[in-house]
Amino acid sequence: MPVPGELHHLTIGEASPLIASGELSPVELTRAYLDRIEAIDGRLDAFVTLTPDLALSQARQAEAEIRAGRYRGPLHGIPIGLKDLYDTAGIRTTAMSRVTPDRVPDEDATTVAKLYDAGVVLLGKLAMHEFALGGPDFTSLFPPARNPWNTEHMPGGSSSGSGAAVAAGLCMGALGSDTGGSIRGPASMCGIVGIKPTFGRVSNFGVVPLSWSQDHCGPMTWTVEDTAIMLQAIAGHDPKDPTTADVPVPDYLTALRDGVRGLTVGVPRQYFYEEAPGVDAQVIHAAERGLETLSELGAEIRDVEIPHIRYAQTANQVIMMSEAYAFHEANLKTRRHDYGDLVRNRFLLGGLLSASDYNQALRMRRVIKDEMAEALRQADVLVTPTYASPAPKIEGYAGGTTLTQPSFTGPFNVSGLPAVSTPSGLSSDGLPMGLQIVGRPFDEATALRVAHAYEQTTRFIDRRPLL
Amino acid sequence: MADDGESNVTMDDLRAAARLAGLPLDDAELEALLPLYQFLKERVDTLHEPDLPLGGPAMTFPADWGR
Repeated sequence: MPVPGELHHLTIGEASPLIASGELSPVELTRAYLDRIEAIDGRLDAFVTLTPDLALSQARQAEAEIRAGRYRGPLHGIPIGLKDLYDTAGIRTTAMSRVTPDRVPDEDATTVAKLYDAGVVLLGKLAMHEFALGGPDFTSLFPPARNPWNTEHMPGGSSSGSGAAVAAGLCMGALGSDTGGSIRGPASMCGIVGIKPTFGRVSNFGVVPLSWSQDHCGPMTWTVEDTAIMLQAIAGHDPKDPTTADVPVPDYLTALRDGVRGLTVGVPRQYFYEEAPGVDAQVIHAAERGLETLSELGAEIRDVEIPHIRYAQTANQVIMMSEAYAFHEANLKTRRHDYGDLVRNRFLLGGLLSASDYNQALRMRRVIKDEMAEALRQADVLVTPTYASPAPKIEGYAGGTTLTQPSFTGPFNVSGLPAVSTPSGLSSDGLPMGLQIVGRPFDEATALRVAHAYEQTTRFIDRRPLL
Repeated sequence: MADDGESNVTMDDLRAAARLAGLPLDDAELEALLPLYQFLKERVDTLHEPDLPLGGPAMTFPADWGR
């Protein structure tokens, strides 16, 4: 029987068999998380809305069902959180904005409905960067979330609360969303795992959009195994979202067991491994060590080329800001001061771009996709650093940083390829860094398989932030 | 980020772009936006430089894409 005070250190993969066998009560587990949130979250601001009554009700229902022999699977009775842009019927969904402070959806996002079907317990809604863009902004609806490894630093974004909550043991898993790196960035900066699946693998229905053609929903957890469990529950075609693909969903957990021997790891050295302004050499060195580890595990390491990669970040941003402006145009013209300072300026930039700019970015997307596809004909996965630096400080954070700092994540929103971030160690300041593993289209399984082998060898997941 | 002295993009350019977009921005808002706009505009101009293939944008993602 687990010690109650340590329940927050259980992974989903560890808790599930205990819940299934009746050794661990979902109600006890949920109470432990609610107590921990009450004790810790005042320092982190990871949650913006708590749902304790719903959580305990769902936990009691899970316990009753399991006792009656109706165990639903590895998420049954597992406490999670949701980024506050996932629609939750009857529960406030603000996108962290004074533009929609009291919005209460009447329907669940498809991903939320799928998680409920899997039996999760919803602890509450999580902080984010306003409308999923900008940065930590004290002029948004709620204060910005803080990094559990050092609360003076940001947890990354835009899924800031998701990253902070999982890393701090305030929930066992969370959903984030990723348009330029908003799952993988906070995963990297908080020392956890997160995946941006292939575009079309997971439904975006019921999720407040930032950029329709680049938004991706995905899980954030402590381990690769837990990410695989959550992805399994939310993946698949959705008639409500025409961008989802009607392709079979593989068994992600089974795929984790296969190791990396015989796989080829592609290394796009240009751009991703170059020293440049805004790039901390430590993240590159950590990725280089990651390649050595994968080689020692039996993978073949091979350099690959993506010739137009230096245009990918700009294409990502032009598409993102143009599509975001289209969504927010009416409000920006009539009530733009209700937006926080950081996100307002980014959205306004979208209105200043031309139709030619947008279409040129789309043409560049085609080129980059084709070049990445060619690289992935020579390799099973690509490996890069996840983020250009460890987490910056919140105080003095410059709103244009995500615009000017090289992005190692955005290029894969442009291409739609699946990409997972897993911890690659701590910086000299004790802040986490991440390794990004990119798969072929709809082949999240191989990316997770490589991430799992790396994780189980390096065991960076054994370190937890001290709170 | 480019500052006003290093960029070819001027406040008048920004004001014209805002007017074209129908955005009623005041001088303080334009001042705050200018450094970001200068940086973005110079980046975006590079997208127009490469000699790209004639094929159109790839907006859809078929299941077997890239295989």
